[in-house]
Amino acid sequence: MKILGLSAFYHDSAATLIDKGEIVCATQEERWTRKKHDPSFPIHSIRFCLDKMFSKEKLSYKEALNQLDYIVYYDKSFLSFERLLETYLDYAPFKGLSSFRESMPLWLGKKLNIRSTLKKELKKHFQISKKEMPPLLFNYHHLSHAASAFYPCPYENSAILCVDGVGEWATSSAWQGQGREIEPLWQINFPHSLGLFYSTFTKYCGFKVNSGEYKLMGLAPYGEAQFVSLLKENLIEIKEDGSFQLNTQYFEYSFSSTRMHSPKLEELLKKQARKTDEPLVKHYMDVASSVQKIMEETLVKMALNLYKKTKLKNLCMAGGVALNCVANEKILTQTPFESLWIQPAAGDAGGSLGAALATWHLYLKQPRRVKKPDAMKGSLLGPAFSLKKIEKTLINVKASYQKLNEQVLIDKVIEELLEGRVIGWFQGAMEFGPRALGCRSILADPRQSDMQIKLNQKIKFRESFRPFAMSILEERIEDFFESQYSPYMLMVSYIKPSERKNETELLSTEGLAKQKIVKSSLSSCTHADYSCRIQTVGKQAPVRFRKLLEAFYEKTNCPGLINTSFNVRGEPIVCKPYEAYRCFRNTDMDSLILEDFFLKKEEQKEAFEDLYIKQLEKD
Amino acid sequence: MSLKNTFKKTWMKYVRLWNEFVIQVVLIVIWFFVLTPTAVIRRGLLKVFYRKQSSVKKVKTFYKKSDSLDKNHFVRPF
Repeated sequence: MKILGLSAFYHDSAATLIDKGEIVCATQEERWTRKKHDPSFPIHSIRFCLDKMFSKEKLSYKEALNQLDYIVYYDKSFLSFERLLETYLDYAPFKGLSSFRESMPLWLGKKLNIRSTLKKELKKHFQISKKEMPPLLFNYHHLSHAASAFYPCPYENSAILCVDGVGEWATSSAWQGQGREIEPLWQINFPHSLGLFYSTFTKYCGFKVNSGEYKLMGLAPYGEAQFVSLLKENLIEIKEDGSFQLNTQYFEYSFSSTRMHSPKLEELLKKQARKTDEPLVKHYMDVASSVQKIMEETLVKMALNLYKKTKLKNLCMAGGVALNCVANEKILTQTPFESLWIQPAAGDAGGSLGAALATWHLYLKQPRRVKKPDAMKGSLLGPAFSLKKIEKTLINVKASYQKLNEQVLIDKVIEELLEGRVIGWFQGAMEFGPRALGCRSILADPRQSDMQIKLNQKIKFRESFRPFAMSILEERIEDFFESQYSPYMLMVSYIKPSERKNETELLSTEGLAKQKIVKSSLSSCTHADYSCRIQTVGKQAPVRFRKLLEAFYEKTNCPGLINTSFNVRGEPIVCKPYEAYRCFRNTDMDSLILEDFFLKKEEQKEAFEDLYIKQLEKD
Repeated sequence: MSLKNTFKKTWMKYVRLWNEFVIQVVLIVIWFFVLTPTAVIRRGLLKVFYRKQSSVKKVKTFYKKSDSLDKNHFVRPF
């Protein structure tokens, strides 16, 4: 029984294929089209899934598609349209006309009759007639999220919390998962959205909505949360049970396609919204800090309410807000939940996975078998490339390279890292979700204090304040951190008090100047509040990546490396070997590892013409 | 041949622009002559039949501090 799950037409299009309830592969469209958060029909992702599933049978795409039992879409467009119309009805005639004129042609032409749109797209790309197509099903948006969180998680029973911008009517929802059943408990409806509340301030601070939210999270520790009471008195009321309500006078996202907040918000905060290229002053850091605090408080209260209702010791989460790793740590430490599992593709891309799994377990009523450590296969569900293909690419671009065996390769990489060089690391199957987990990563030594600035400015070309995550051997985490289990890099941990440096100096320093203070021996990935986003690398992690960490630990006594996604600002994570090589040649990255192939920047004699970075849109 | 193609391309461009213009006019007409009266009637009805108030309508009045603490904003639409 093969089910293809799809998410598309909003942001982060993706396709997932499951076979008898087991996840076979999943990939995001942006990785193929090279457009960040690409919302288009995921044709490349579907092709990849069909290739992967039917590679042995050598079927044409049309035949392969015919072999599928169901195709499931992750959202119910009629409900979303109903929300849209009700919102317009609420604001007509004085507000919302321009948004109405902009959105209606798109909705009436494509999004509303999604069944017909999907069929047309499949027919166009695979020449398959409507009669030959597998049955199309549609799942609720938040149920897709809940399913993506619960079914792959390692718990038999669990509470489920989904929080995002909006999906149909729901913005937050709580569920209880038991065996194969998922039971709804409550939901909060649009326009009261924690995700959109956070996005509004993302925009206010000069970052891009649906993309720059993690920048706001990264900015928060540089500021002081001095606006918390002002915002709570005027913008958001949080109840003790975790439900909340927004004062819509301060928000315009309901009826405007360009503005998130109203001029009233700027009056309240006594400062205009920041434009993208304006300098980041303390005011915006304080706003970021306050908004992050409110977000954490609300999520913790929601989780407490959920615990009270379910009395379960496990919680799993999905939805874009679940990517807020600082809030995730608060949920785990400030609620009675004993363990927390977060879907690594928590955003809409993961909806394709949830839709497929919900079909298998809820629609087809198939039993669920819990897998340890989970059923996500390390989230390494994307394409991998053979040595032959990689070598062909390297020959085509006239690259100078060496082919090394694993041990020599690892020794060489360690040598490079110790010299303070930055490594592009391309191994195995690509990650599904926004985090690089050791297969499409840029690696560096975290002990070097100037590494954060070097990586941000010369390699990623992004804002200097942005923190870096660390991949650390699971068994050695307690050497440096207050322990956390975080295999998908979705949790922060704090540096142990004994490992902290310059605490008094840090307290007396304001804003971005905190960045220059050495905060621990892992200075390049220790953030201004001694936090660090971590990926715990256990026995199930990619083998070669773990071997590299072990070798680095043996040599240096440092059990981890800086691990940031293999891309530059505005670019999706690299997918193919050529994209990795292109990124390597366009940045100050020192060396590149493509499976067994080792490339050094100074040995590349051939000129390289593809200056793609100039064409990227800054996010 | 190429002149014919250029003409065809330009013609198609103007047809597209005209279509977009017509769609926009139709949408403006719908906004003022369908949506606006519906919205006004709906608001009137909602005032009379408060219980049928939609969740979007609720946001117009911000929750007051004096309201009892145990009152929450969760809904169960399933």
